[in-house]
Amino acid sequence: MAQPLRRPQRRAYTVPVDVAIIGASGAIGRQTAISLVESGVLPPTSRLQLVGRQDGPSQHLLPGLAADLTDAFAETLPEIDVALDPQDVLADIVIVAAGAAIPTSEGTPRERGELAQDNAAVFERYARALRRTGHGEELVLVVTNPVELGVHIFSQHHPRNRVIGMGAFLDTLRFRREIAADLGIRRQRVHGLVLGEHGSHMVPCWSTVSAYGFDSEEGRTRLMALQSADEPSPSAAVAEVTDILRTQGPAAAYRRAASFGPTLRVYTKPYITHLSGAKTAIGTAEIICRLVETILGGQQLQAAAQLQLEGEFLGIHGVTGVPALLSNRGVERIEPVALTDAEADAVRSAAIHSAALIKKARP
Amino acid sequence: MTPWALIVHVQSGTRPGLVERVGRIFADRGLSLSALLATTRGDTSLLVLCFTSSEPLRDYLVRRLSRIDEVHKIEVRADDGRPPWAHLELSQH
Repeated sequence: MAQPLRRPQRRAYTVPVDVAIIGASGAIGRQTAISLVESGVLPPTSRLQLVGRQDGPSQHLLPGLAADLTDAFAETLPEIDVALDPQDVLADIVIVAAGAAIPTSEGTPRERGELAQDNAAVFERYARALRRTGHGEELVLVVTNPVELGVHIFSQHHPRNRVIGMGAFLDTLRFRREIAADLGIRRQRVHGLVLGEHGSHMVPCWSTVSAYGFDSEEGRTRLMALQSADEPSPSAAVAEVTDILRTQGPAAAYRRAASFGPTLRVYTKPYITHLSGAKTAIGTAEIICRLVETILGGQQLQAAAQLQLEGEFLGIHGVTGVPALLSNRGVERIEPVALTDAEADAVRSAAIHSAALIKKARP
Repeated sequence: MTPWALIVHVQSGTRPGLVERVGRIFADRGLSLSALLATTRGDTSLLVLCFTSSEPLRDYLVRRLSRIDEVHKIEVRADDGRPPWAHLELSQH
């Protein structure tokens, strides 16, 4: 008997919830919608709101996307709602994926800060609308870059413990994957955090790294040997792989990135993926989906995320990536972790860098 | 906290499950419906929903109910304790 052509679904929680994806017509927004529906994270009694702009291409694209999702997932589809006005965004979880992104056609990567001017207005528009028309308990997941700016703006209009920047969460999972690859194990066996900025000032914290099965002295030695001391700086590595990408293509760029240690691979590989034109939509969407699944299941999750701080971590007042315990109530608490002095200084420096970016975008 | 009655006008021939979807919107915000009446008037189905909430939360519920495809009009009335069918008599056609 023929089997249905459908990937096995993950465990579906029966808790219905309203999820809005702002920027649902973009690469990450669209992939997030697909992942949330395909995985069964949203049961049929949930509602998925696809949000776009009345004056942009999304006004045509989103009804089409809604129809396509209906065709593809008729068996399990939640209620689909297309909204083209910020005031119509009504949800329990609001995923912010709208705004400008780094162009994939460019030969050299732009700093995320260059997106700030464009995207500040986008963040502001939706944050103000959320304050006016929301119920006040929404969980806001910011994906759009600069993620620190998004967290800052939404936190001015919404309880800051319910505004979570996804950058450090993504960077942390990439960091763990790169370490796991070198150890020959799966990612879920590796712990470790990337804090600081989601960008050139990210801080992979090796002092937080551990791996299941590597607790012996020999194991720790092997683990710590992955920290390559003799490597170029992150900015030099990114510039190098970008140049190789432009002149020799993505395969050569990935080969060069693979010659680096885990730290530099976390910096370089997402750039190559993005600039190759493939972007990082699938990985990003899948990770968002897992976070939504975890918090909908009523579970708590230890993770790294960009948060608006008021001195709770290293005395920082501002936005940066920090370790936190997340739940369906948002940030339960900032998790204390013991960093080396150099790591702590780098996180403080990242927060200062982000503060300058935010100030420039919103003088 | 004030008692309210919402009269929700729904296009006829609606797909099954509407009341479940409506009920969930209230349940998600921790609200219990004190009365619920469903009837038809001509081509329109009518739901009378009675509950107690703050005014901002009532406004949110109205916005949220309005996002349901089949809902084309919502009347908001203070609930002075009259039975739900009496609200219908005062409802605009």
